[in-house]
Amino acid sequence: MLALVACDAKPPQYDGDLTYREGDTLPLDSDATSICADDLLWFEETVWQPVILETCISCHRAGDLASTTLLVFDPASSANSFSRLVNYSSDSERAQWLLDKPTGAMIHGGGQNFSTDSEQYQALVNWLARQDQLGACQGEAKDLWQGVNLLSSQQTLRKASLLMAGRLPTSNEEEQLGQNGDEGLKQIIRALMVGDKFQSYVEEGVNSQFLTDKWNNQRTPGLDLIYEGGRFPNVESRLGPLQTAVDNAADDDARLLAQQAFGEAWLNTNYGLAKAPLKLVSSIVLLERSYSEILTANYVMVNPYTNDVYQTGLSFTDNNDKDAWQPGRITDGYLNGDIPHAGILTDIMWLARYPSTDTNRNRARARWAYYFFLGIDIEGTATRPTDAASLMDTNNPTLNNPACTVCHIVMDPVAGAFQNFGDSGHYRDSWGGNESLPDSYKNSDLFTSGDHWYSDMLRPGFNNTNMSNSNNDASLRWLAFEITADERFATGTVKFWWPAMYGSELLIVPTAVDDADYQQKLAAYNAQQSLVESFADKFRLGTAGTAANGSLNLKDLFVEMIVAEPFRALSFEDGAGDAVEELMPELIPELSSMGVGQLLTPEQLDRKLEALVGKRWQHIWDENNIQLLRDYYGLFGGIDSDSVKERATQLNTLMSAVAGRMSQELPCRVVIDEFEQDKAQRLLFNLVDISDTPTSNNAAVRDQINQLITRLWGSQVHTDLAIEQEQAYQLFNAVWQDRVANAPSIWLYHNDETDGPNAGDDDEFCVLDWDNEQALRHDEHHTVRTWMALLTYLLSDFSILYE
Amino acid sequence: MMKRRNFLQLMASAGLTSTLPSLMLSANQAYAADPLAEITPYSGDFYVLIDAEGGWDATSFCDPKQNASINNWAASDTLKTISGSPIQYAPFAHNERFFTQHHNDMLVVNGIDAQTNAHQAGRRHNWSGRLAEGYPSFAALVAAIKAPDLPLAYISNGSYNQTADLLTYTLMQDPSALNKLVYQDQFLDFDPAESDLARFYHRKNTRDILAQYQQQRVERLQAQTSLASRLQKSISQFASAKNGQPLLDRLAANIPTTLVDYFDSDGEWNPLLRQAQIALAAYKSGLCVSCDLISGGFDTHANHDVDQATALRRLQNGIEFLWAEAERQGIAHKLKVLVSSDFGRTPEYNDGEGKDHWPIGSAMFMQKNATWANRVVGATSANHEALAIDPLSLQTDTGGMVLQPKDIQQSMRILAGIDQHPLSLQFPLAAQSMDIFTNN
Repeated sequence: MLALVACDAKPPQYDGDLTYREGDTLPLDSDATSICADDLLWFEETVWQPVILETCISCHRAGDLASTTLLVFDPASSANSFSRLVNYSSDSERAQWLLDKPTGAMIHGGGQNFSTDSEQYQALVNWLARQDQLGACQGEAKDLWQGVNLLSSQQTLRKASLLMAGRLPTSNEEEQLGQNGDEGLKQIIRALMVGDKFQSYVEEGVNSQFLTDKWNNQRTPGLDLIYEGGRFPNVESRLGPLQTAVDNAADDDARLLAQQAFGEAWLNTNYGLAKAPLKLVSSIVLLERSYSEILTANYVMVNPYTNDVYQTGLSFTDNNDKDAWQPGRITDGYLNGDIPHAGILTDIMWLARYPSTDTNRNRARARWAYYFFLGIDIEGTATRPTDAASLMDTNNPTLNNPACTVCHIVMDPVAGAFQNFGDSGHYRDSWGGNESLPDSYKNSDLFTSGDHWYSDMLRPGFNNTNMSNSNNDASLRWLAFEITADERFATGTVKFWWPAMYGSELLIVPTAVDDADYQQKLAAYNAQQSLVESFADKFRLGTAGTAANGSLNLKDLFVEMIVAEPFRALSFEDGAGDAVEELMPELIPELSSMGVGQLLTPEQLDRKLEALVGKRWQHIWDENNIQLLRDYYGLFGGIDSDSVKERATQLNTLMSAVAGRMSQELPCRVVIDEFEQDKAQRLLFNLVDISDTPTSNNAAVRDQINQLITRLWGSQVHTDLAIEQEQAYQLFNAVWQDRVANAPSIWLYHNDETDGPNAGDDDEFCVLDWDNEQALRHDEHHTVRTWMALLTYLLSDFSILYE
Repeated sequence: MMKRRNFLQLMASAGLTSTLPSLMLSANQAYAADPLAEITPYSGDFYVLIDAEGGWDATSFCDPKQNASINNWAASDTLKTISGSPIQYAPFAHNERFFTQHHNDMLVVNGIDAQTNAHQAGRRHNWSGRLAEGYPSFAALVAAIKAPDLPLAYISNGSYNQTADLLTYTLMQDPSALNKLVYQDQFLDFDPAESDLARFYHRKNTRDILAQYQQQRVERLQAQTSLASRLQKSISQFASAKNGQPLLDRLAANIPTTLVDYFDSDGEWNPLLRQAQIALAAYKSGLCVSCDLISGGFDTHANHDVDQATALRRLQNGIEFLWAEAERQGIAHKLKVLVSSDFGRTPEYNDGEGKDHWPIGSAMFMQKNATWANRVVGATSANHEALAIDPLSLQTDTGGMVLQPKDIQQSMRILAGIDQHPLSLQFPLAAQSMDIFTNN
């Protein structure tokens, strides 16, 4: 249950100019989409990679040392950077600067980068010489999706429905799609994004990035983080009396009951703490709030148990429902003052997942904030010092040494915005609660009473803007509004959700120009980045998806990503022949991580199985043990958010074996339960009677098989449907004929007690209801067992594990 | 429509020669006959890569610096030597026990310049041999060369495990359900010794029919050459993974019934122990060529002496368990082990009694009774700066070269005998020509 009534966290209008440049301004990405492919390729090979990425971009990009100059590249896009360099070079004076500044012939903030006899210098000379020839395209622009068939609207709806809603499309949805065609697809897909299963999808996607579920267990419990320092005086308000009840129990029975009550409350409290960041995101998405609220929310999500810990003043209808959530504020529940909430940024579990130290000084948090919310991987893309001397520089190198400032000038102001939160994520955790500075620093000459941040570091800020002192108490709220007003917040959001949506990581920018496949890798990378930018633009402008819900609506971003090629690429067009062959070198790396064929996570497979056959795969003796979420969760590629942090995207033998066992275990109860119902009530076997056999009612059997294939395999048949239908029928018939001829029993459970070499060959295990005389326990026509075999065949197929 | 042959050729032209073709061909071959007849259990050397994640402090380990401004222990103790060995160590963690027991089986390499102080890049450089992206880890490369068709050829525990699509790695942390996967067609939730229950979900004739139709279905899927690249790749992986299932019974036979405790002899939660145990069992079953094991906690920006010592003890307990368990299994002579870390730590303490990132680090090759063991190659200055060495004599030489991770990786390729293999040559390291295993 979700409710958002207590807080109004709409971000104010942002009046900053994010493209401000000193002096003249230059257009940034004009005509970036109309660049000749030949020109771009030449630029990438001769200028972009060897000169700009190697030398210039560490300063000449947004947020860095040279971000206020006239030359600002886009590290994520060679095409955008091409356009910017064209614009810059179009002025003769600036063209000369392009040669003189990096060679030290005129003042350059970055000093001399190379000499006039270097290859880099010659590359720039060649660049300028080529300006007049740019735009004379020699060939047609290449469309990376040319010759690729996509899933149809119906097939796309099925895939989206299984992933987003954990169910198959309803007949009503299919009918609507039939009436409105592709035009209606977006609306129908968007309508799927409701309910518990969609919420699970969202939360799994968030945790795969944040990994805050690390705290949702007993080995590394989030509760320990709350107990630390004794700053939450009410942490024991529920647990304390329960512990007292254990201590004062009159006898063993009473003690056992008291221990169970305490244990349950402890688990639910821990659950409430650990899940709070995930619930924040999912609630914002489900309630259609602006996605920026994940950072600007002036509340934390609480369930009844954490509500007691934080003493927010909220009340719950059911005070023991761990899945009831409300937004609350931590005020009196914290010793060192009201916590100025800023969504994820101030969530204790998130902060503790990315802890700081006295010397790290929140830089790790800044790095992850850039990564998660702006799509910038500072560590992954920045130039590194290659000499030890830089690291032995004792003159405050992160502030003064260019080898260090490359990253730190971007990172440190944001680290400063985390100034109020201590190493474990507590607000103003120093003695006295005035700030979070460590004693080692406060005992030095650098500290002045009243300081909130280190005087030997850059001031708190973002993107060349210093934070004013008036924001000192709520510096992360200030940062939250800065980040969400930045265009890159949209790009970061797309990058954040890419793996969850498409089942693979984004490609890394290739840097090894000598690699034989460098061009292919670069082409694929650029194509992917263009998609990212396209999605981000629409997300930011409110034109994504159904384009009717305003800016930064995540559901609409999801819709936009679902109807796009990376979700739907299926096959090469028949007869594409030469065209496909010509394009293949570029298409392969691009498509091999996108399109149909993504391996499902254990959570997704669990939901899909329930959607397909109406039952989850449970342990035979314990219906609460959902096999894919417990016994086989790790083996099927699940993560524990601690030591296992990356989801498997490729099937290995053990995972295949898990799927194999599922296909053996699951059919038994599914088939029996089905045939114990009236035909009209059945989900799967509604076209046959139990007495229908290949000889007695061949047409019904075939129709039933065909319907099962359609239901279970859907668009994943990938071969000739008629052949698959015939093969499935032949399998059914072969099993049935053999049973009629050779099966020794008509019991659905049979223990073959024969001794000798064939002992057990006629074993057939199934859990039957022995207490109910009306239960299905016999298989007089040998059809029930045969349908079980067919279901094993269908469930063991490729089409079940992938989408 | 594109022919399959053309498709494979184009894969090759896109730099994916070893990826899909390998998977596709192996799957086709395997499905052509009984997989047990097609695949030979692996019995060659076992390659174990141990990642001390976070950047270890070599100056308190195998490259000791007796300088109190670098190491607090130096104020009250001295670096330690071993009689008859050039290997020195710091009086820190379990070093004394570790080096005393294992110095005859190890080659220490000091003064390795990772050329980075970023974790991500450091790990990539150390385990693939290249700072730039795109190269497979050594574990992936050697598994792809030695026995790519094995279902568990490369077991990863989460170190740098990029495969460059050479094969698929397996993450296997908890094998408790292994029997139910090996014997997936049997009901096993009872004690077979005490119960008299039906075992199989389907009778044998049904199982045989199912297997036949499942195999034919996979073959039909694999024959679809017009499917987009990801589908082709996924179908190939599905076929290969399914193909390896009959071999899993070998693993089940070698997994100990009682797994080693997660807590080590120091009472520390130490997953390295179980990682090692499972990897050894996988090797002994003939299904595994290489593995990466990982032990964290080395990124000690604060409280260095306590936390680094804890991390090092955990690592040492894990390595010692690896060797003890390998001895117990009778396979210690097959192990070739490389232990390394992202990079080193600064030769000074910061204000928080921590040590920050430092590009100079060390590595350690281990092998039983190796002629090249009980030696040290490479050196650092008193301030832990890398010193150049002559690539032939391996002695310090100001006109020589500074060791880099690519040299370590090239040495590992030499040790495995794969440095000239065509697949290795697809990922050239541009390393110096030298042989650190020559006993100069």
